[in-house]
Amino acid sequence: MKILVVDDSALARGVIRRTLAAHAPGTQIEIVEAQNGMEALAAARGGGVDIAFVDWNMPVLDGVSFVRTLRAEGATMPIIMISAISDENKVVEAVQAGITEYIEKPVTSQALWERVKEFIK
Amino acid sequence: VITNATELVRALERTLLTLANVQLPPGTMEVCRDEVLRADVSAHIAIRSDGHEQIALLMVTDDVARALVRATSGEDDDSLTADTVAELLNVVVGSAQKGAGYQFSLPVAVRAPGHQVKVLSAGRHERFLTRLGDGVLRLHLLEGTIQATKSGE
Repeated sequence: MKILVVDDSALARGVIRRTLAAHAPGTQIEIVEAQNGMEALAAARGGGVDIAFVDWNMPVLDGVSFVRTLRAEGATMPIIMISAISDENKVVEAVQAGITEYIEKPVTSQALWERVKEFIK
Repeated sequence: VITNATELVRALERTLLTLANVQLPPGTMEVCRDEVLRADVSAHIAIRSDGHEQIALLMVTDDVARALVRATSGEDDDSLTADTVAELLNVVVGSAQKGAGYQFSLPVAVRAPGHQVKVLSAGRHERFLTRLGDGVLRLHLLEGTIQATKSGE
């Protein structure tokens, strides 16, 4: 299973990486990391991504623009947005862009796993 | 905008507990009046809503920054200190007033031993401080502009 993790913060990427390692030890997981939406688009266009974890506020290309572009290109994989933004109107905007789930930071590893385990085969 | 800096303080307490398993008992963050603001790692974020602008500022000494890296990542990696402080502030600002319609910038982090953050223009300025071990953590909410300068300047 190939998982794309997109966040400009190494700390945030590490939380996701460690959560998957701790809770899905028997699953063959390849994690690809990107620091902004543009890097993530390049990685996703390479093919084979089964699920993406995406931050919103990032330099170069933000998470919602990344999602909008990817969906317009026909990508159907689950996209989980994990962001510090809690404005309800912004969350609606992200849903309309095509995210599958929205998770607010801060989130514990356990709580994150409970929200995403259904997507990790 | 964030109406009260105590909202930031509560968000910091929640964030440290969630991401670093560090519990700051209520009242740990004290109001301070320090004019000279020094830190080894600092991060700031601009907040905007309805034409009003604020700056949230998180400043820590090096030992606190290293402890935060260890607590959040389990690693002793000096290169992560600026990123960690920046991301913590990002989460604090985002969750300070849940559901509120303010926008905020990407965090800007500075890592330089003993650097000073100068407040260049006067306005509302709320200041909180706590001591963690031998180190210091400051959290500020202000209206105005700031400038980071090297130690001694």
